[in-house]
Amino acid sequence: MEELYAKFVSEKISKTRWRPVPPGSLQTAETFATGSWDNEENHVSLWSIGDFGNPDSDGSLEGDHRLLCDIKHHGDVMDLQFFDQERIVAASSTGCVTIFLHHPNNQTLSVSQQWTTAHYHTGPGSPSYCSAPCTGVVCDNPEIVTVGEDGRINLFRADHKEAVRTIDNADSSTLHAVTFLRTPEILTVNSIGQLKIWDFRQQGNEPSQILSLTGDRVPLHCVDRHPNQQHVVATGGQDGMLSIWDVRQGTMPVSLLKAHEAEMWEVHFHPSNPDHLFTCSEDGSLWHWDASTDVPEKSSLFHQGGRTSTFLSHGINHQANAHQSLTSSWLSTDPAKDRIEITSLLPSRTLSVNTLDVLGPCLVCGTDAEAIYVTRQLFS
Amino acid sequence: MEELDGEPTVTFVPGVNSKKKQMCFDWGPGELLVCETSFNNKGKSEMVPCCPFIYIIRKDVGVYSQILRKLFNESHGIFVGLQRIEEEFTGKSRKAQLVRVSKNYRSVIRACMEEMHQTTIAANDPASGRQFSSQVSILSVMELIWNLCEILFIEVAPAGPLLLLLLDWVRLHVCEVDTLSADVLGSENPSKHEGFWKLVTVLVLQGRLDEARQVLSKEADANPPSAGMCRVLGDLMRTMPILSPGNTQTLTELELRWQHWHEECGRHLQDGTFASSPPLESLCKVMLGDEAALLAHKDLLSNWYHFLVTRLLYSNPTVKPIDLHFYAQSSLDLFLGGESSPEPLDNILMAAFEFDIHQVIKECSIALSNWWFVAHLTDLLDHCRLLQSHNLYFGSNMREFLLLEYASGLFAHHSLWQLGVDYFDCCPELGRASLELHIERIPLNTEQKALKVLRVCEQRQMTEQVRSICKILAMKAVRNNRLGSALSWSIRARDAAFATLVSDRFLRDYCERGCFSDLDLIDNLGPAMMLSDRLTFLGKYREFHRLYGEKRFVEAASLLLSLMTSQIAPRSFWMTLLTDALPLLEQKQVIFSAEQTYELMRCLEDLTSGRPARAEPDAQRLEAVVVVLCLAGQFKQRAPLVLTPIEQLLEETRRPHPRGPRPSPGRCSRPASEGRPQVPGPEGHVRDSLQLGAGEELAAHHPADVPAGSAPRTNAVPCRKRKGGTRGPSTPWAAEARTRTLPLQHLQVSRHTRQVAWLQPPDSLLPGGAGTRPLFLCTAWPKRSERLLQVGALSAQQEVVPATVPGARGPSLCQPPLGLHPASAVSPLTFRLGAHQRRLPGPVACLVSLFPPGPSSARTGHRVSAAWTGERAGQETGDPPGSRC
Repeated sequence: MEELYAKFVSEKISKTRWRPVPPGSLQTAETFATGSWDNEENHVSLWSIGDFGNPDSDGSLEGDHRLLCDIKHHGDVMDLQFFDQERIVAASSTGCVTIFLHHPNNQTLSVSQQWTTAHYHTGPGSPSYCSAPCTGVVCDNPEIVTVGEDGRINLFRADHKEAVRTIDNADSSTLHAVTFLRTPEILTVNSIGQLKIWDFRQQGNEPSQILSLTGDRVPLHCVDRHPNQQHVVATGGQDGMLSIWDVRQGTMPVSLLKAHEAEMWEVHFHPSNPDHLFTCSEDGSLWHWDASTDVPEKSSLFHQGGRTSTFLSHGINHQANAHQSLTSSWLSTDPAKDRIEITSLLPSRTLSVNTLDVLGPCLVCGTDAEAIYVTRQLFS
Repeated sequence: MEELDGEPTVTFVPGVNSKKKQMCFDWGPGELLVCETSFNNKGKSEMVPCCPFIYIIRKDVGVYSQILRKLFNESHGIFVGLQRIEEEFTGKSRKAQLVRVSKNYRSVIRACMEEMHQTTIAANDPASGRQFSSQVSILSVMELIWNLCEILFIEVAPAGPLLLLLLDWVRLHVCEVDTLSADVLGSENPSKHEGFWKLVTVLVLQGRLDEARQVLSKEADANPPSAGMCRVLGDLMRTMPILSPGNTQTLTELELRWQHWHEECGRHLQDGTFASSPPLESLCKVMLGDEAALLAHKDLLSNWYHFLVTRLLYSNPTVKPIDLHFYAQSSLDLFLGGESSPEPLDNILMAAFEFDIHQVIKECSIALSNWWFVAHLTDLLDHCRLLQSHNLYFGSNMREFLLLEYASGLFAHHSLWQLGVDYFDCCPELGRASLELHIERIPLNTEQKALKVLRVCEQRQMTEQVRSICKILAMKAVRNNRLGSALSWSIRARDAAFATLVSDRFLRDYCERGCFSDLDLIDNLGPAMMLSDRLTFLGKYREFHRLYGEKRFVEAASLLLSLMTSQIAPRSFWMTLLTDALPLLEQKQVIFSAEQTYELMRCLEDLTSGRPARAEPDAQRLEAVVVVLCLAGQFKQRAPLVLTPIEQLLEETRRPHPRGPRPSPGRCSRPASEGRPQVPGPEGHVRDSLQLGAGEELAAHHPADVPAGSAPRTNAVPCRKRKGGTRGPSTPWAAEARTRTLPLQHLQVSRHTRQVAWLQPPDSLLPGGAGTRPLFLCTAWPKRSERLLQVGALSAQQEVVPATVPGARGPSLCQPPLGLHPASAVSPLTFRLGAHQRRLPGPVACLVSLFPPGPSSARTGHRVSAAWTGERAGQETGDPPGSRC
């Protein structure tokens, strides 16, 4: 990564998300949203990496990202998703789920809709109502699914005031993340190392399938689904392990890859180039996993911070192996053909990298060291 | 108290007149708690406090600036990198690395300064503009001092290069010349510009002779008569020998050539070459190093260190580091000329020129408003191995002391605590203890934050803290009815006692509802099941249910029996287990073997004979009868065995009980042969067994269940109605029994207030909920016997919210003898008042500073804080008040 821009922003970043580009357009990503956590006052902010010609008056350099607008957010931003081009859904540690609307004309954000008590505890210690953090949110217009520390799953619709569907006590432990599998199925991961598949067509509050790592119950913190092959799912755990699952078969992960030294906070398949995967962790590292190489003599060397030669020949390789990648390079279980190349993207490790997002050639990540890193030449 | 290094600063508390009123206070890790008191005013009960609020006073205001946060974060990265240098580099490359690090630090300061400057310009309200510009000047002073220290202590420049570096230093910090230059050269006729000669002089004073020469050529062009003089002076400027970095000439050569040049200058002056042009003559005098000529340009030099460097440049360019301080002192004296006394900055720079590092750091600590500067500079100098001899006499060395102070400040901040962790790590003596003390007090409002804190603890093998945090989370989960979560947290903490408690809750819920909750967890316990006996039982009992559900009756039966025979099942649960055996006994096929049936009967016997003394509810006898009948029935049917013990038992149970109705015949005569498979589920005998358990506190704390010494001090499980106060006050919190407690609308000071104190148990032991920190007000009534404790919680927003925690141990116990700040060797005395006070109107009164500076007090301070730690630790293990039922 030659061009990695860092900017210190005076708040710890918990989530970053690229604004989706309109389908069919040739634009590259240029706007992203961030959410902060653990500040006295938290914000949801929108940033732009577009070119502004000459250096700005405030001295920021070309290529640097620039704050477009921000809005106060009550509680930590636990998760953030773009609902569509203008709307952002934020999950709060106060159990509240908010839709923010971006007005591009005057560059402001406003609250467009809010479910204040989406997640809550009921217990002997909490007299009537005690909010529980909402830990994850996923959108598929017009549906929004949220999960929380209260083990509850909510299904909202942007045009409905009340939850369309609520599964109370869906999980005995904390739900950490959620993603859509196939509409109307969702996938959740929890703090005792289980993946659960829920089908909203079924009544009752039992999952349709439970997958787990037997034994050690290592909490899973993040989940992402392969963009093309909906049965392939990647999760990241507390021990920094990357697990690849095939939800069609078995209840065990297809492969377990030793990765980071501490909690893996996020995992993302590249949306248009799913042989590439990105992970970030509490140990302060951000990794790029490249499973597209199939040069057999290439061992899985760990290239610290360096650019590997595979990136250069990437385009050609990809063309040649189009048929192969259909069978998914992630499900190959042959350990001898360990074809994954890992590159570390951040120069030095300090505090936790909480979040990352990729879109096209652009990557953004946010850290507890209050910095946002952006690169626009991921596959240069 | 020994002599002070500086005058204590005065902080004003709105609404309190300290001349008339008394104040009481308590030290906190980063803050001070202050309120009004009327301690000694006996009998004047009509006195009402004029300021009814408690204040939090913070020092280290800088921590709260948005822009300075960038400085802290960015420099944190550099700091962490610097700590790794130790092993990576040696010798010459090491020095180069250290200089690079120092430059990095300075560039961060500069970047911050730039941004602050932009903000100052953009600020539309004058008050905040002033505040920002004062921050800018503080940053610029920091950079100035740092730069000088870098030249003198880190680069350790020898004679020759030393002066070049000093020149750069002055040029960097006296930067008005650039605007002036643009102004003059941009004008139509530069030589006629009013600032022309000023510009030339400034350039000469800064040793920028090439530029001066170019500017001078304008004059030569515009004014032909003086062209000759300008050329001569220009030649002098051009020929002045300087040490260039790539040059191989020796110092002696340079000195010789310089001496020659100097004489030539003097000759021109004596010859009166420039006599017709006073400005040029004055310039020539400057270049001769003439002190009077230099001092004539006092306004252009702007400060004495500029004067010093210019003077050295033109009189002794190869000055040795060792001689520097003579020149510095005389320059300072000459420059001030007895008109004004030196300011703190002057003292700091002077100390640096004297190579007195200790004094530099001390003066900086007093003069600057935050610990960032001294902590980082000292650390860097320590890495240059310059501070080895400066061991302080209270336990740690100066570097560690300052780092601790800085890190504590970070921990006092709402969100910078993560940075503080790495600083504590670099303090070999007291770092770990401090971290342990601070880390437990971080408010944990989400599990994610808790995980981050846990990771910090686990990486450092701080098992006590890990346990404590997990326990807090488990307790919270129990309070929120999240038993599954609670169990996973206690498993993570390997907290057997708490796992037992949670398992009991599961069993109780099972008894109440007839079905298990949170099966996803209980079915997947794995080896963690062995953590506590009760948890093992829970897991195994659930396994029995599963086997039963899968109609694997034989396995289910033997598991059930083994639960009792192995003594895993708590006695109180045996009856439920025996009832669970009923449907198995009623099956058509034989499930319990003869051997197992004997065992079953033995268990029943144990149960009934084991407690003859107790007055048992009739339901139990009834149940016993049912079981016995079934057993007997089965035997009679399938194996004609008549057993005396059973007959006797039957006899016994048939006897009318004195205090109860006869056993219902309907139950007794339940046809044993019905044989319909009964799931030990929602209704029937399971429910009965609940009533049975009720008399003896289901799953009571058997002494055997809890390992000695780790008795579950928490009573997070809401137990059944307690009988007449049998539970002893086992914890400090139990002072509740002796004190009156009042739910307060708001924490307020009354005329009875005697003392305030911090009470900082680990987070979340308060009912105030997530993210609050407790603080604490003690009020004493006139009668000594009665004492009222008030407790408030401080929310993340720094608002005081009322909380109705029962009083703890008298805060007088928490109070150190007399508030010596735990670390007060050198303190920049600035405070930030609690945000809630903004609501307060009222006149401003004065509170005399309570931070006694000077290293003398620090020793005591440390001792006190250590003693304090012990006491707090005692409190922490206590019963959390919120978990009472």
